Amino acid sequence: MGGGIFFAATFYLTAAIALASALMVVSHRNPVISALYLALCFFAVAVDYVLLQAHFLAVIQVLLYAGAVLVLFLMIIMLLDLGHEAKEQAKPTLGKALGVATTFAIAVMLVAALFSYGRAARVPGGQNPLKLAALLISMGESKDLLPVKVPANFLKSVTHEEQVGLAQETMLYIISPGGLPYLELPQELNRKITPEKIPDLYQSLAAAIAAQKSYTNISPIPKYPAYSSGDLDHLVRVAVWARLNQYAQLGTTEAVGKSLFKRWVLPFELSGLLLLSAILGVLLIARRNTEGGQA
Amino acid sequence: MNALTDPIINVGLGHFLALSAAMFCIGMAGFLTRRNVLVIFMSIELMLNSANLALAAFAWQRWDLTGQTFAFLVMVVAACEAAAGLAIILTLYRNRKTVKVDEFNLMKW
Repeated sequence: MGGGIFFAATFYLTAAIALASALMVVSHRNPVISALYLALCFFAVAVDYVLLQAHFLAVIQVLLYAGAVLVLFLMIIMLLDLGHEAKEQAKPTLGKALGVATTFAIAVMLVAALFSYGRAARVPGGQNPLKLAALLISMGESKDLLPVKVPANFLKSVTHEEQVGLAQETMLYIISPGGLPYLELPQELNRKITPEKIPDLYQSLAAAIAAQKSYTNISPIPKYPAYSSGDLDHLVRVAVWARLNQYAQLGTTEAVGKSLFKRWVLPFELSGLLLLSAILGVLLIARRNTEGGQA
Repeated sequence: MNALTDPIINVGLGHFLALSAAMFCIGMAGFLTRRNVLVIFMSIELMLNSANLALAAFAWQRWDLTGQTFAFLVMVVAACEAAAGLAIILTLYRNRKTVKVDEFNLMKW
């Protein structure tokens, strides 16, 4: 699913930076240096978010974590004036030994979970955007219109059997409940597909994608000739196109905003409430101190 | 590509999950072994970040935005937690003149 050498190189570089700086955060004696390494770690994770198609998260990571939270940490360190006790003796205690043992136990558990994840159910529907794009090119689509760029040598690596399988899987995934969560497909698409339903399916998919086009500029939807009965080819094309657009839209501000304000509006409102109560609580704690213990 | 280089070049969900797990363990080690309450707080931020990374990785693997949405909500909670926690640290420091957790024994009986 990744994007080749460049993707892999970026991942390994940022992973190394993130892990090394995380180690420095927990091991450095001076909390100021720790905070600065924490900033470096946050930036490396932000790059990983970009690799994961989470562009909005990457921006928020830099703004909120590296910006707001880190500045808060540094300000508190400055206010505390820790010069006399910044240094921490590294003498081993029973508590530390227990901490290391617990961490080791959790690490073993996580590694075991990592090795068992491969057996979990996989999502059908062509997870590789490059393969889906190659499928469209093989069906006669123009390369320039696709939301995903395909390397020329990649086309040869997709066999005919794979193409047929991809087309079928994608169709099945698209019409499954929740297959395209933010394409807002009509309810009737969620029922089982039968030959006589193909005209309706095509119309609904095309309408949903046309509606999508009105507020996005990611890729133009090619014009299809009017549907003629029995033409499954067009339906497959539209379905694969919708899936590719879904990948291209993953993590844009618009898509995350829609997800937040539509499907997950209640958690969003609750987090707003939490922010408000945090503001009030922090104000209360800070105020009590400035009045010299009167309150 | 052959079977030997494929898992190295073809970075997928497992790689991101491994990075997330390693970051979580580092954060947990810091949380459990350090005595400076500020560093303990930074370790909590590290652990929250690694959880966010796992959420974003699953969102990427499934082409589903739910993971990214909840990573955003986790960030909101982390910001609240940092603000409230640092205010408490400030108050504790004013009363006890220390940031070492084993010297905060106000609630000990």
